[in-house]
Amino acid sequence: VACAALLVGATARAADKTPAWLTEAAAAGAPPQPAGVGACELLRECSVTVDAAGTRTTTERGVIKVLEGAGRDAASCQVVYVRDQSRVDAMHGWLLTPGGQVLRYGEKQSVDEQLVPQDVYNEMRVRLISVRDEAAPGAVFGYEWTRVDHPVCAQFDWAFQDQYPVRMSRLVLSLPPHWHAQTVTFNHAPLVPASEGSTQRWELTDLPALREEPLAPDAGGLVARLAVSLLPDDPARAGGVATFASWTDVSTWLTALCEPRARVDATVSSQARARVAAAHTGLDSVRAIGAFVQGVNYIAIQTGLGRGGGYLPHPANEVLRNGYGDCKDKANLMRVLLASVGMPAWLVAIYSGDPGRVRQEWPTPQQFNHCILAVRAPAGVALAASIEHPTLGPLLVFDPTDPNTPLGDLPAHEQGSLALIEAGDRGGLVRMPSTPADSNRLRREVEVKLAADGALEGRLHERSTGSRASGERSFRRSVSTPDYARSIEHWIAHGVPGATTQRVAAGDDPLTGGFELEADFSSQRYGQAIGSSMLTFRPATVGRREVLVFSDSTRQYPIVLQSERTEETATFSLPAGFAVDELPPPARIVMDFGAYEAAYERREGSLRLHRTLALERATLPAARYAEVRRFFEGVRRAETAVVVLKRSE
Amino acid sequence: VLPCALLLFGTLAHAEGGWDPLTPQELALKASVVEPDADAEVIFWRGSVEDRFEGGNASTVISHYLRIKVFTPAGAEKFSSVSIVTWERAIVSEVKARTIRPDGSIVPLSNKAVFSTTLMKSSEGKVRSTRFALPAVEPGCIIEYRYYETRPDQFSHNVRLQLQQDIPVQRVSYSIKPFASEDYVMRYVAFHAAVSKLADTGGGFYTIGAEHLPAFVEEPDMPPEEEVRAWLFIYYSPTHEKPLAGFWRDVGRASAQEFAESTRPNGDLHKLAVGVVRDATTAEDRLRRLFDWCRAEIHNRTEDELKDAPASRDRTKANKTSADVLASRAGTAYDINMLFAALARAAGFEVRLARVASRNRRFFNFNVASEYFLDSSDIAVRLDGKWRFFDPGSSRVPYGELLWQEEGGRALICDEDSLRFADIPVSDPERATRTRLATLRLEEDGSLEGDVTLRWTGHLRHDEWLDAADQSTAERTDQLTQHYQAALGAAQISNVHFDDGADRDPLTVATFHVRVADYAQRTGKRLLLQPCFFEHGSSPRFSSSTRRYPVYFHYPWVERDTVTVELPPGYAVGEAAEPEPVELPGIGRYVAYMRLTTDARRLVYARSFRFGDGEAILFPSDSYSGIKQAFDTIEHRDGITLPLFDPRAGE
Repeated sequence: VACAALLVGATARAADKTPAWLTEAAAAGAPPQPAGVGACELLRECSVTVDAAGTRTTTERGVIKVLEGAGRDAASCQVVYVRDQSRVDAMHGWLLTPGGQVLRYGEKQSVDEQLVPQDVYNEMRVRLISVRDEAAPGAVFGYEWTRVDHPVCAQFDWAFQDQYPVRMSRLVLSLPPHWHAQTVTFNHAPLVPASEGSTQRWELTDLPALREEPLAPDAGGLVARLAVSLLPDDPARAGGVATFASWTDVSTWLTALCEPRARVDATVSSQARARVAAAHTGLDSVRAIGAFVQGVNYIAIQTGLGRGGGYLPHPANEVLRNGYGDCKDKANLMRVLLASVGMPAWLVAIYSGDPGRVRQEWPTPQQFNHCILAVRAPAGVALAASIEHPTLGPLLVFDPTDPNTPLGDLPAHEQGSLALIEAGDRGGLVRMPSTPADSNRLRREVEVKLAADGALEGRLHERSTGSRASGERSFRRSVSTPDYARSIEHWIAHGVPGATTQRVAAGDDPLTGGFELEADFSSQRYGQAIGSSMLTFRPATVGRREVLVFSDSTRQYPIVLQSERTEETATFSLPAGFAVDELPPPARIVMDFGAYEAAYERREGSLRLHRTLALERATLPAARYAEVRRFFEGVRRAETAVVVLKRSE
Repeated sequence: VLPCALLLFGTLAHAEGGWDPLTPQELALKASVVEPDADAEVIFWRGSVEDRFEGGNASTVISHYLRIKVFTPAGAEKFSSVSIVTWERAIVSEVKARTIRPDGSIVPLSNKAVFSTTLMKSSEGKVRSTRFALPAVEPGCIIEYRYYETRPDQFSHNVRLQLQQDIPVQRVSYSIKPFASEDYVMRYVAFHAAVSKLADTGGGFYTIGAEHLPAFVEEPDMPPEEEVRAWLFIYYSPTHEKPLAGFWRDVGRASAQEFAESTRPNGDLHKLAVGVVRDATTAEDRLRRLFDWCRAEIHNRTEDELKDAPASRDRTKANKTSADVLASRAGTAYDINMLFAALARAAGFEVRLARVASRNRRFFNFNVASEYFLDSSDIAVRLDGKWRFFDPGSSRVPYGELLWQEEGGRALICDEDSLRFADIPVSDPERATRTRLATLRLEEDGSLEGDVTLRWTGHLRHDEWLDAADQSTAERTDQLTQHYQAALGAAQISNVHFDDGADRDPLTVATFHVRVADYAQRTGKRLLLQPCFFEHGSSPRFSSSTRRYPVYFHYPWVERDTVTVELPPGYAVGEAAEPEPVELPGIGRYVAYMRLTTDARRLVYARSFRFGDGEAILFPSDSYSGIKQAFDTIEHRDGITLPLFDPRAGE
């Protein structure tokens, strides 16, 4: 998309006539929008026609009005296709300038790119036309493209909007005789289509722009979407296209697709035996194999997408030989390694990034973007990532693609999500476990020696577990050792002005599966002298690494909180001749979604601050925004509090 | 100069399959030789560059062969795949790669695992990528790969060859085979690395190399990359090279001839110049009028690009001469400078093209006979016997001033008859001033509310304008709001207004209203106030305790803040000392003071920081601790706290 700037403005001869749907939508204009809304979609229309052989022809039309400079990016269109499996039959654009000119665009002005540029190879491509460089505020961009393909599944979903407001949004579906459609509406009251012969039409009008709000749900959980399943009246006449009436159908289909790739061979068996040679328990074996597969490099080579390749792992022995694979390759490799030492496991399809994305009401493999593994839990093992399956028994869920989350835990962005266990007719949709705040804990101890001139010498020690440890580990892995030390120095210096860090040590704690950080630091100027007799300092020397600001006075969307707990004990050795004159009041804020406490303890020559912030995983309605805001403001107030020391007489 | 033995590794006969023999030391290596903490290290990196001229066509064939030792999982992740991106007609061929496991076993890369794909295709051309995933990459392994890239229609003139990577390099070498010509030879210069002596390694190739190069890292306030990173510059120049002075004289002469031609005033230009300067009484006034006219009357296409303004669909015809610029009433920044020069010539001024280096990219180097080091230009006009420099094409740069990156270097005053350089001074700190004014009211609960005005002049103003050039007002407001919210916590920012002024107005202004809950800390009987409102919550400029590269500030500047705080009714200021000044001898000064108004109802805090006196903007790395200490001290003084108390409650 970034390369769209290369587009030039030669006029295409194709599609010379400005279509009536474009001029009509442009003439209707955009409804009034609040300041800051850069563009408005006047028309967003998708027409899907399916023939008896299952071939799908999709035509999308759009009309976008640019309202402000920031909305010029909206003046574009794109069509995603699979190389050699689908074809883009036509792609046209028209720009109606504020001066009354009509500029036309066609294939010559389009850009064709690999959809996921970071993949080593991916058959999915995107063709796009961007006219942002020519679209001044007031301009209207219209586009139309047609794609023909023969998808693996007779299902699709369509969003009625992106981030911009939409005046008219419409999905039109035409089916061949003896086919019908089942639909589910997400994030909106159920939509009823208008029907005319074999064509159905769903419409929404005057959809407001999406707002940016901190801790809001993913856009997929906010915008109205229609999920469509196409079903033949006679299941035998599906024409090779997969159809699903239940989650068991989806499990059965995926299992049948992937089962041939689960074959155990001598190479895999030998590797598995080597990995578990030192294991004393079943859990040790799973842990050893899990750690091995986590170490296999993530490389995506996406081929055969038009034949279900998006769901099909490479054979385990091939992944083992190459030493790399994508999520499904890694999950399948682990499954096969475990199978070869007699431990059953099942692939699990999940959506990574938004635990609320997958909906029970729409059985389809298309709701997933990631693959993990469920392992039959060895007897007596119950860890944070354990679930009890009604037919498969106790399971341990594990993501071998995430190198930072150890066995027994699950990445935070997968917790609480609905996921599909691929176990034939015994499989189905299950809810992933959610870990409590106590499992995602960061415990910090800070010892500080404060001098009469405000100088400070300090040492901090952090131990984190669960998702907190995963986050710390992920950051540590993402940068070189010197860069990591520099970032810790910067973090400390932000809370302790003038700090110099003498030592930074960080790494995994093999006993707890947690992560530890230690740092020694000093500053010549931490405390502030007030006159000749007083010294002030902030006892919260280092703060959270992410600043959360709720500055808006109103809220539109729910607030999504992750479960975590932070505890800190900071001990200050006070300078000789000084005593505590004033302390901030103790803080205690308790809500159903979280609690914060800060308390001071005076000792002879020292002062101790103990503070705890605990949040529970929750999605709170926007109506509770004022409470959430008050809570975090109270936390901020307590953490910026100041202690006053006074020189003793 | 390194021993020539270094070069031997570049000429060893290849072992089977074209790979160099592996040594037991390489297999046994547990940590980087150059930087012990590195995730991976280049054991050797062998490049070759060959310029060919075959069948009337020029081409450059480049090859790379890298052997890399992986030490950590992060290193394994980073080097598990390789991507070679090429443009348009360049061809990548003979890609070979393999992994050597820690036990010495070898896993070759299958040819089927090399994917060549079009990353992006448009009417402008193609971006192609050749990618492969290396098999079995894990900590302790060695990976190696090599390939050729053929670039048609070019020679290696004014080309940079990198010697450093983002991981340490044990040994790097380039074998270079220039195009054989009687008239031209290829020359080289190494920057920021001790390189071996160029050795004739046979077959027309000459080899040069370096050893033990640490990873290249980014540091805040560092010189441009070319001034700190290790690299090799290769270029062609005449076989019988003149002394340097002769080279630069020739460059000046050629540029002067071209300039004279393109700025030759025709009748229209003469007529215009006469009209524009008609009422002016002094030479300075005449010149300023010409400058202002060019700014006001010629549409600046470079400014359109900076502003990311919607482009015209009509293909714009490039201007060849100043007369073309005048006729079209539009042009690039360069065109506008040329028109200004032509008008000045028509008005009787002595005018030259001044070629300069942009020191945001590189510094001028007289000792390298290449125009690569003079990559920008301004207009020099002789006024009162002195050369003065002008840049009407750069929007928002005032009359008689230049962009910061064109100050502080030497300008080649292009002349047909003589070699002439002139030093362009770095502007005085006062020319780039940031003024911040806040009039605030403090409530008894610690909240602070009031109005803020920000003003920028000179280079600060230009930087501010550049930052905002492609932003809408809403985006700019959002950026300002986020900045203050990050520093002040849950601040409410409203009524944001920007005034960029006219082109010739040396001031940019932003105003807004702010409300900050709990700004002052209540500790019981006291309210603790940090009067330096604008530096509240700011991040340290230098947080690292160590430094690799020099510290480099773009230009000198001055900060002036005035904060007036109306105290809560009945409150008084307790005992407090004023922050002590920070003296930076010969470089700058920080001073802050506080005063109560005569009615004791308002506190006035004023702060001034001046930096870069005597053109002191570049400091060697060994002076880092002093620089850091100075900025840390200022940060501490900015954090000074004032106790307020209600006398009715007693202190």
